[in-house]
Amino acid sequence: MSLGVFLQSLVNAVAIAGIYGVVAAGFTIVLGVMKIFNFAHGQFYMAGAFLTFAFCELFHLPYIVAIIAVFIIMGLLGMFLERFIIRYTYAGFFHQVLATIAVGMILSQSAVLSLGKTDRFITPVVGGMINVGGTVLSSEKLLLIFLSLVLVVGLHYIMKLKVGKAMRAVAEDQETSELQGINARWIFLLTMALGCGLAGVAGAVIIPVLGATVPMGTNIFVRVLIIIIIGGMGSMPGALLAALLVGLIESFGFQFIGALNEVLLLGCLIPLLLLRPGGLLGRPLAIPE
Amino acid sequence: MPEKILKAAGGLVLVALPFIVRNDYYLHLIIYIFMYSMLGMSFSIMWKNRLITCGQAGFWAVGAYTSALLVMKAGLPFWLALPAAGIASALVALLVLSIALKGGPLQFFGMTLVISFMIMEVLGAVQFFGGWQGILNLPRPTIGSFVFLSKTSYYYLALFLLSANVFIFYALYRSRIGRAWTAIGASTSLAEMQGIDVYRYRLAAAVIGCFFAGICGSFYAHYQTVLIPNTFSFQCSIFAQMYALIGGLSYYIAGPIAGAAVMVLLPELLRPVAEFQPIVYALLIILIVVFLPGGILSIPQRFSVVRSLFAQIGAKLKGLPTSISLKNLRK
Repeated sequence: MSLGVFLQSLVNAVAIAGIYGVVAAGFTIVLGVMKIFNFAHGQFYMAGAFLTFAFCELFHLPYIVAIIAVFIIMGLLGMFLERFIIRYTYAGFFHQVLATIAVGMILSQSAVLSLGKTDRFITPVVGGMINVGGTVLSSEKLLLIFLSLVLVVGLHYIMKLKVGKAMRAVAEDQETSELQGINARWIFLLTMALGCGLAGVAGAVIIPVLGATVPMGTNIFVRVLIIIIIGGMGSMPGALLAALLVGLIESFGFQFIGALNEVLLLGCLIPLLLLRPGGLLGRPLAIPE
Repeated sequence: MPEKILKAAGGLVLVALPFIVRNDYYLHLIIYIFMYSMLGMSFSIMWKNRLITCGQAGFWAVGAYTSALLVMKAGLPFWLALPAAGIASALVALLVLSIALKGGPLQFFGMTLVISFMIMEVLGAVQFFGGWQGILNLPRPTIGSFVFLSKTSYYYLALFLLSANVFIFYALYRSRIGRAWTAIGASTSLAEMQGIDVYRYRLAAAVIGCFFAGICGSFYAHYQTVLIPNTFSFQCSIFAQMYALIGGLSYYIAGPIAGAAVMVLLPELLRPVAEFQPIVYALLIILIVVFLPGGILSIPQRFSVVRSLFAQIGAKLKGLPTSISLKNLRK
């Protein structure tokens, strides 16, 4: 492997890992705080990409405005989902999972109905290539890495705020945090908004590089599952570390074995689970009864 | 014994159904109901242990492809490939799910989804399995010179497989193992206290469920005679869950059958709005999850609650003491 190919793969790996990290972080917050598996998470990501396409290409808004608008709209949609569906599923974990699956089905079918099954691209945001020591790197990918870094760091600071502390407290123990005066229902709403907003923004960030397709939601959801299993259920640093790992495996695996690199992931996952059944940095999270 | 007479009459109707219906398309739908009931039951055997699997499509695919490859490449008859498909599926389940189960039910939940996705990817990417365009022209099952061609013959094959499945599951649920599963479903820590090895019993349920998913896959392969990897996508695993949910999650045998019947017959009503079909399914799930978490089989029970509510109001009007308070009804 020449240095050029190595550098290319490395940038690809970090770019994928950034997106996976942002999506997995949103998923992990929701899983950790609300103890639900948000199956619509991948579809929120897809909807974010399609919305960005609509904003940039149909309404001709600047890219950065589109990102913020997508975050707000997806956050509101997530709040709606929590307030009007999940809150009424008293019957337990599995029923909540099925409710989110249903919402995901509605989102993906609406995308098919409104924009069709064709792939959508937006006009390049920065465009051009950057030459680093004889290796040509696409500047869109560098923008993607930059934006996902901004998002991860921003999330880190949100979790340090009072709201973030309340979220972590509810994640730890809902009843005790309610005794401390935290309104858990309000925190659930905010958590859902943050998680779904992050998924939507990840879609907005990926669209200049890969475009928007309908199956992208399901595809990334499987990666996110692998990531949170590797990283440990509900552990945020674990999710980010695992996202980097999965990005590296996918990018370099593609260089060596081609299309089967997804199977390589499973090949890495199983020995890891044999060694550490709870994931890299996690403790086993129980299904709430 | 009216119950026994009813059961016998029901059995007779099932056996005589091809001569009553006499329409190939309706028979085709009924065969699908039988097939999907088996898939749904393989989900609910794990749900009895409070394990949620998102990967039934993967094990279904393992069964279908094993059977297809054994018949086409090794030249085995269908009747040997059918159990072989079940065993292959069970072996794969034993291999991967034994690892997935170690991290608890939540990890099992995620891992089954990942595994079934990977199985689909392997089936599509490896040319030996036929690639993304799939395997065409699978041979149909034969007995001597009799070839299974008509829907009627397939109907009896499906009926046989389904009733064997129902019988075995019924026997299992009533046996010592089934009681252990019920205990695990009630509370894992309580079951452990009684000396039940939760991990082993759960693994047994998963392997048995996947065995029957494999058998069902083999039947599917030789009924459809075409196998395409995309059939066994995530969507299909979700459908297996939906059969169990819509029928009723606490009815481990009747639930999936009722759910499969609803889910197969519903698209027939939705013909005019075919592109909105997934949305209608989704709304159905949300309605059931929010308003009828016990599934459609719990409707009679629900009605009795409503009835007792009316009785209570009537009794209150008459000034009689009531046995059920409103607070209990909320539960």
